[in-house]
Amino acid sequence: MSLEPLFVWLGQTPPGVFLAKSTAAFAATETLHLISLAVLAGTVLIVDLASLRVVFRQAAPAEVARSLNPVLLSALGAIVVSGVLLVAAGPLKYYTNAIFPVKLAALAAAIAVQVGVYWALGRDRQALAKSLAAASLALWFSVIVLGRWLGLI
Amino acid sequence: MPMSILSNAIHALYESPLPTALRESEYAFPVIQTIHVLGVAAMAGTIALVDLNVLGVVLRRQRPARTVADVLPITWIGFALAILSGTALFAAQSEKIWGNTFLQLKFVLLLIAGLNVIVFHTTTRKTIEGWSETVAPPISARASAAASLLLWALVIAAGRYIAYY
Amino acid sequence: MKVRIGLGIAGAIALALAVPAQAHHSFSAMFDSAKPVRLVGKLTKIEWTNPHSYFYVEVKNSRGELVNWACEGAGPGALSRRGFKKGDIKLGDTLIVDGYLAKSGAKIVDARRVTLPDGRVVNGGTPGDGGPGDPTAAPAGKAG
Repeated sequence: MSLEPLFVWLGQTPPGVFLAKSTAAFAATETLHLISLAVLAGTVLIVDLASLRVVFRQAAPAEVARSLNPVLLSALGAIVVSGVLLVAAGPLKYYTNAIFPVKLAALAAAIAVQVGVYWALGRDRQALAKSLAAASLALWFSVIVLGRWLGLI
Repeated sequence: MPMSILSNAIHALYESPLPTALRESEYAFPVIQTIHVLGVAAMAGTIALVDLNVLGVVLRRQRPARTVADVLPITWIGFALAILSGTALFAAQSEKIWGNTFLQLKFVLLLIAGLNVIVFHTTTRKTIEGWSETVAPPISARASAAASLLLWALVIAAGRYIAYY
Repeated sequence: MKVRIGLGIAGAIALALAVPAQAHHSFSAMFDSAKPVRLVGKLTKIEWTNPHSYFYVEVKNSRGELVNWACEGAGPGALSRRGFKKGDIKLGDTLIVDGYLAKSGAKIVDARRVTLPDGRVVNGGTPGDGGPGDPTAAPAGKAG
């Protein structure tokens, strides 16, 4: 099943057409992507390091995670929306890029494992939370590196 | 006069061996760019959380002093990675980008952001033991936190826009 | 909620900083996919550098004058992975560069397809940029 029609369609949507033409809007979208990347990185760092008992050792990691959840979700939402818009601006570039599916797979895994961390904390499964938190950090690291290397191959 | 001294210095930097090797490298330059993104993300992301804490948005149940003490070391690691990689990237491209408006703007913004950090730590942060879930930080602290959020967002934006000029 | 306001402010700042420009950095941001250009000329300068390489070719325009064009390519790592190495070209070589004209109208193209003196064709730019397929020829003389 080829996904190419989906990518082509994305490029033909009004936002896709607009961002392909407007350099200013494209640059602004990229900037939003990067700012939300920073916020997302900050939250996952603290949630996962708290789960690993590296920071906030006197606190319950579940409490730290709960407190940061709204910010994490907001940043994740912003980064996904801006990411889709960036693809829409030039979809074939991503469709033919060998790294792009790897990045998306890493992103899906990172999100799933992060949810797992929250789940484990919620059930007081401390050891499981630690393993998942370590995996989470590695996965988010990979997503960022893969994202940078999209433009370099 | 000062301009030509500066431009000679930039030229000398640009042509010196390490920046040249970096500029013409196959892997080192992209790797250092990647380190820069990681460092900036860690630094700005954790600063944002401390700022949001001061503004009463996150981590309200933790002692503010604990938040600052636990999070800032990570910020410093991110900062170290960002500034070392940033210096290398600048040196490798110096002659081509030092006249870039957004590069110059980014340096100015970094200075202002840095000053804001210094002011925060030398003044209002000293009252931090008195802050709590029920006692809000002083206005000066909250102003500094809001300024910090804005400034670091602008630094990131200016950095991205360098490539667009 | 404060977080949304914060992110909203960040977004607004990003938009406020939106500047028209000879902007660049994705194909569609800098180059005009409606303006394919073919340059045939002698290599006068090479910059085998990050973040972009640059080849300068001397092209005869429609009036018979020699004009210098800049061709922007990928960095050394990407070019090397495609089999295009620094020693493959030298000053004075005749290159054929197929690309698209810079939106600013300046004499810059992206080096999408470079035909080397030995006949090899290499991809100098970023593949599948969201632009149309391989550029078709429009001689540089017509472009200016």
